[in-house]
Amino acid sequence: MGSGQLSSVMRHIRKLAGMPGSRNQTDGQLLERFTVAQDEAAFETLLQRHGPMVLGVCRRLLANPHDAEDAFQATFLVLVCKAGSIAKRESAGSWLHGVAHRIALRAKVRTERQRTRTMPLADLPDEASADIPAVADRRELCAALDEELNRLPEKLRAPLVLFYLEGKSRHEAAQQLSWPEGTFQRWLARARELLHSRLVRRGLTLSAALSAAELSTSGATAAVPTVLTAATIKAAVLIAAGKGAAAGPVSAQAVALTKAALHALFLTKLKIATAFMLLVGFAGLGAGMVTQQVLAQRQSEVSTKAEMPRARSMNVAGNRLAQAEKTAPAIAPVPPDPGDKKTMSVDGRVLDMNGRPVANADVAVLGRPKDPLRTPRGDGQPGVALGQGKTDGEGHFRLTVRQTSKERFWAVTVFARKSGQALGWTEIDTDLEHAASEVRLPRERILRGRLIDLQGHAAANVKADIVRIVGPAPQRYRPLLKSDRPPGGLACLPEPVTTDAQGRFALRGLDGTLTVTIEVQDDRFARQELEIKPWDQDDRTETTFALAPARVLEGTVICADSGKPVPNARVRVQAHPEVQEYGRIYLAETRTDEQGRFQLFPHVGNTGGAARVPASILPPPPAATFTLTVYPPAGEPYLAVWKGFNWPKADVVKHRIDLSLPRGVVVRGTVTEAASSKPVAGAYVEFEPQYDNNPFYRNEIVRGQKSTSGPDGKFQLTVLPGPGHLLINGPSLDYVHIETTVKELYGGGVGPNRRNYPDALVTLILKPDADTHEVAVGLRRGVTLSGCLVGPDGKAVERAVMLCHSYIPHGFDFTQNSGKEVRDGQFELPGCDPLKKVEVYFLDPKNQLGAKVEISPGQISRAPITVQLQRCGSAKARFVREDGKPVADLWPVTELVLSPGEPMPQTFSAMHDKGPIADGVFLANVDPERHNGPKLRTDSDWRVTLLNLIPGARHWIDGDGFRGKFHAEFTVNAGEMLDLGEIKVLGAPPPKDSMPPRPPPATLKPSKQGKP
Amino acid sequence: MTITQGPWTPFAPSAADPWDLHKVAHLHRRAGFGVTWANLQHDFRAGATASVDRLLNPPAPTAEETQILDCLRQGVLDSRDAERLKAWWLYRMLYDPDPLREKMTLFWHSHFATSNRKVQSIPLMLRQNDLLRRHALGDFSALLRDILADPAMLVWLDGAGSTKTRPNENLAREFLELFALGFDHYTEDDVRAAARAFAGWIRTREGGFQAEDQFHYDPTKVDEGVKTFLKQTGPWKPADIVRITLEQPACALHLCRKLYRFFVGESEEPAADLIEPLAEELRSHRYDMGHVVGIILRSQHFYSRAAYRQRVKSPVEFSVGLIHTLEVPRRDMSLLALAVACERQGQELFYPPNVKGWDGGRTWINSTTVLERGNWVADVLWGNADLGLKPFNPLSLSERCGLPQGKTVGGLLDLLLQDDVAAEVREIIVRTGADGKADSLRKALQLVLHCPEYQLA
Repeated sequence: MGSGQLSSVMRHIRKLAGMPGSRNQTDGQLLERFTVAQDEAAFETLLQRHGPMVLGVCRRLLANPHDAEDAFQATFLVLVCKAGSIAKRESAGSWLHGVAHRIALRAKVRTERQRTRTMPLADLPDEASADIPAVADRRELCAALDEELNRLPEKLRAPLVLFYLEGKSRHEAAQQLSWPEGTFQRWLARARELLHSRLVRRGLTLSAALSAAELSTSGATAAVPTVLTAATIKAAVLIAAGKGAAAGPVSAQAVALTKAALHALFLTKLKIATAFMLLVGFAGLGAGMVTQQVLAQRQSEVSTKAEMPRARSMNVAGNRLAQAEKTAPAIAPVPPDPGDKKTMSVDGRVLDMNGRPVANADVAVLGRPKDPLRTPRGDGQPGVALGQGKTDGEGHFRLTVRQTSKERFWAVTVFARKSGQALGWTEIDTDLEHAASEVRLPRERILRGRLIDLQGHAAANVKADIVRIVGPAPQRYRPLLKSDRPPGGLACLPEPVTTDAQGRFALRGLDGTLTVTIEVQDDRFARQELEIKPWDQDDRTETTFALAPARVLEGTVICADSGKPVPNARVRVQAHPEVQEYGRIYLAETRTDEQGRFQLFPHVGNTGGAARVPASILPPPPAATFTLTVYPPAGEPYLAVWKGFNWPKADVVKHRIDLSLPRGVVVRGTVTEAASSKPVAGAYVEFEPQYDNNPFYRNEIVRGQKSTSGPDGKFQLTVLPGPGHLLINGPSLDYVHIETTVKELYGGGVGPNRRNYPDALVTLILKPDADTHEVAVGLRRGVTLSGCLVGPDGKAVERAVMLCHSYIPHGFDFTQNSGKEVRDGQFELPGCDPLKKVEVYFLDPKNQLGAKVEISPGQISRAPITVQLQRCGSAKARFVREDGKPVADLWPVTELVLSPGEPMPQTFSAMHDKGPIADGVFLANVDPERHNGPKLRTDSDWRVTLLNLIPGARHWIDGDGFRGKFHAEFTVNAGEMLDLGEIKVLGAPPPKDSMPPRPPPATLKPSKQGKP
Repeated sequence: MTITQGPWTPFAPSAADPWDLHKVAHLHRRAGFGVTWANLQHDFRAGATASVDRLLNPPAPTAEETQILDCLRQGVLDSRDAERLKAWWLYRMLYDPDPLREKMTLFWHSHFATSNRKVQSIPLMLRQNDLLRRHALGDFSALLRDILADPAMLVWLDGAGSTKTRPNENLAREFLELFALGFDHYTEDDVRAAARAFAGWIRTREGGFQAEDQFHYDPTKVDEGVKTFLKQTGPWKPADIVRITLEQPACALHLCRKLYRFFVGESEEPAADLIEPLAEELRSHRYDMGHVVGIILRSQHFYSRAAYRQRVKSPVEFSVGLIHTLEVPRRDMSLLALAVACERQGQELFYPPNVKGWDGGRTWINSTTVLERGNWVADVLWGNADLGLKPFNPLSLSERCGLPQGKTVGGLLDLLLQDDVAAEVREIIVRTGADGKADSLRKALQLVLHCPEYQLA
């Protein structure tokens, strides 16, 4: 008897026996049984539990029963593939609902695209001919229900799914979630209320939607066809056995949907961090010592945070504001950027390729600035010209430009050029006050090109700007000049090009080693980038480019409440090309006219050959290939909205989209220094609604309204009514932060519960019809701790990295990029709270030195201090499975923990249920030499050795992937080699046959091995 | 019946059956995508033999044309845009100096029907298109061998990942039924044997984000065992399967039937004694497709009533032919719009509906597609700014064709329909464009292009 027949017989016997073991197990246990032992009965139980609900979701969205069954299969195949990451769930019901909904939506888009082309009328589903309006209404109701359900946090979605969609009794549902019945009741009621309120906003009621859902699936517990169950189990077994589903009994469509969903989940995982950065700021280093009491104290400095009736506090703030305005002229505002006042000198020589000085050459200093300090880090800023001049007769130049720094600039480059010679450049140190440089001008190579349209016709008189110049191979991903609009008026930069009657152009002033990107600026054609790679060609080569035709997006923007047009609104369309290039965002932007009308020429994405993600590993083309965003003009009481859309058809040149802006509430405020009441200019203010209970929040509303305080410290922004917060950061790093968490700010369900460290926080609960709301914000200036860093020999440490939870250059939370470089033994830590102890960590990776320093409140004001680094410690560990067998090919990640808390959860749903996540830094980012790449893979003795660990600091090693889950905490002493023993890896795959047998260890140490 | 006697003997003009504009236009409709006025006149003067020779031995493209083609091709690869891929092929159909090769590429595209809907890769579809073009008029055995190793085909029919332990039968089955022999000329055992012989292709990706999928013939996955295929036993590999298949009489017959339907007529199934001589020629000339296509295009049967206007123009033939015949200036038209027009009429290039390709014939015509044909005619003649199409200038065409004033409509009827319309219809058309104004001529053209006769190739 073959194994296939055998397992089939086994399954039958278990079924006959009633599977007593399966029935009482949680979904997580069943999944584990299935993935570990490939127990078909366990999977069948899961199918029986959730199959009808999943099929219901699919059927509600997909009219064609075959499409629904494909989506059904895909959902369970995704469950198998992701079993490892969701195995700890009590119930997979809500997870399956979300996945099924997304898969069915994707399938719907696909089939509708196909149907519009090919489907004859006779092939319409039966129900369509019966009662089309009724079916359509029902579908709409069901779609709304599933969509809103899917938007709920998991904790709320789970009881709803089990109770209403899976038809479980309260007792059964509570049991499956391992909740007490009372808890289940409370959550169910809360979930029902929230879902109802959201449906009401769409003009629906919960009972109608649930009835429709029931009607459309012929009852919540409609059986899954036996054939479908059998096929799905068979495919799941194949996947679990590592044989892939394509060979199994599933359709190509189901396989495609599975792959697409897995891609989406993979991207979601990647996006969690990114999206969260956008929402909240950046990962924070926890100041574990900031107590609730101090937090309250900080918050009390913000007038509207006080526990007073809202209207009253508003009046107080308003009165104070009015008073401040009267006396304002006497108070000098805090300068927004003290660094701007300083200057640095850049001098040097320009030489030709033979080393002879070049007289009268044009020289310019260009910087690539980072985003302003304490604002969330975005995509960077366009290049800025810091200064320009000419060389003297000996080729010398001297320019005085504003002082730059590493905190503010990615790079500063000196460019030089003279007619007939190519552009030369050299990068200078951003932190020096006096930078010397020598620029050599290479031989000019005229870059020739030709532009044609898709019909092969010459594109005459087309203008193209230079948008990017990238250096030779080692610098391929570090552009010399990168800007959507390069700084104008710089004599040394090559001129834009314009084609002649034959579509030809010649680009002068560059050499043949560079890669140059030009962007077409002509309304006859779409905005598109063209990449010229002269290093790939001989001198006479002419590069020909075919230009995609123009696409014109038109529309009108009106106010949602009055219907009046919105003039001067900023309208932006972003293209999401199927072929994406790293780090590129394709935008076109304009403003509406007096009638609220706009016209835009969307970008098509890149047409050059830079590094791209191949289509095969991208998710299928997104449902929307363009995103249109409209921002109302500043000061208007309306909210920005966005809309994703696809271009209707390749032959359509003009497409129209009209948008209406919902009304918000205007918030005005003043940012001052708490001690002096001086207005603070350049403070960053951001509003974030509380997502889980703000009834006015809708997906199409742009989140995170931002503003910056003016010279008088005043700011204004329009915010969403309902609960939310203003987060305020000072313009520099000099202000003391307060500590809060994602959960406090946003409620549950938005991502990992990280700590956030704004400089001030204002809680708002605004009514939709509220008039302008006034707030006053006080910032507390901290002190700057400075000192010397010396090695064990007492000599100044040349280079090191300083890490501290209060040093957050960008956004609201601590990130992997938050370390500060220490040079020549001098360090400065601004924004310290003089009332609190500060923990600072130093690491000199090159010399393997480090220190953890605790600075008491008394010491902070007594600068400077001297910190002596010690020899780093190290640790070794072996990894074993639960049964004691070794685990090979494991790559543990080492993290320096700066504040206590939970490790970062690996699944989205687990994130918001946790307490605050610890702030930490992956040592791979600080010391890639010893903490990155294959060096950390377990060796032939299944052991890793971790080097360069900071003495006295808390470290973690973590893993939570398909190779298993483990976690260990430890601390090392100076110069010590700590043996962590054997660390248990949960859920590790079985060892390969080729692995040598190893006797089980006599004793196993606990997985969390702490050491003082 | 042999090739030297009967219907396949070369056409010889006579007083009763002269070489005329009807036959010139017929040749270009079948062997290309319509004919311009200049070529109509040129081939009328050149005679049948020279005209067919020119189609079989076209001039090489100029350096300028090659540069443009390369650039458009690169644009397709860079953008990974399926619409640009379609536009690129339509460009070749319209402007390539070798229209017969493009026509045969279209034939093979439906014969080896592969859809990007499953392949999901523009570079692979482009690569297959290049392959079909390269072998379009060449050795069919080489084409078969190459198509069995073509990545797009391997994805489409699950050949990639088919190994000796798990041979996939999809490719083998379609190879026998659709590509080579036709239904009922093989057994299920032959399918299994071919599947085993085709096993060994794997799909990998190495080199990180910038890498493309690679297709390897992995010797460790190849079934080296003995197979019995079409009654021959041995350790067959793909090349052996192709060789044995081509030895079957059914293979040449199957191909010639399809060629007949594509070039001659599709209204009725050709008699066996009509196909046998062609099949014999194909076999005796080692499956040289160009040779047999040449025989067809030169034959008296091809110019007989059995062939003349005996096919329905496919959407691509209709839409491309219209642009080509009217010589619509490049600057006034949009190939993207042309691609969408073909799709709306029921033929989306690179997306055939299934493994059998397009059924063609009467299925091209239904109420929707006729409406879409009319829409395309209207868009081309009157322009459509939303699609990037400028109005067609009939006066300019008339001037280029040297049509005398007052005879413009007659000239256009000659160009487009060779006057194959009923007298009363002709009168209406002539009356519509009688004043010779641009709008009137557009209206007259619209009537011509809506004629049922114009829908026939």
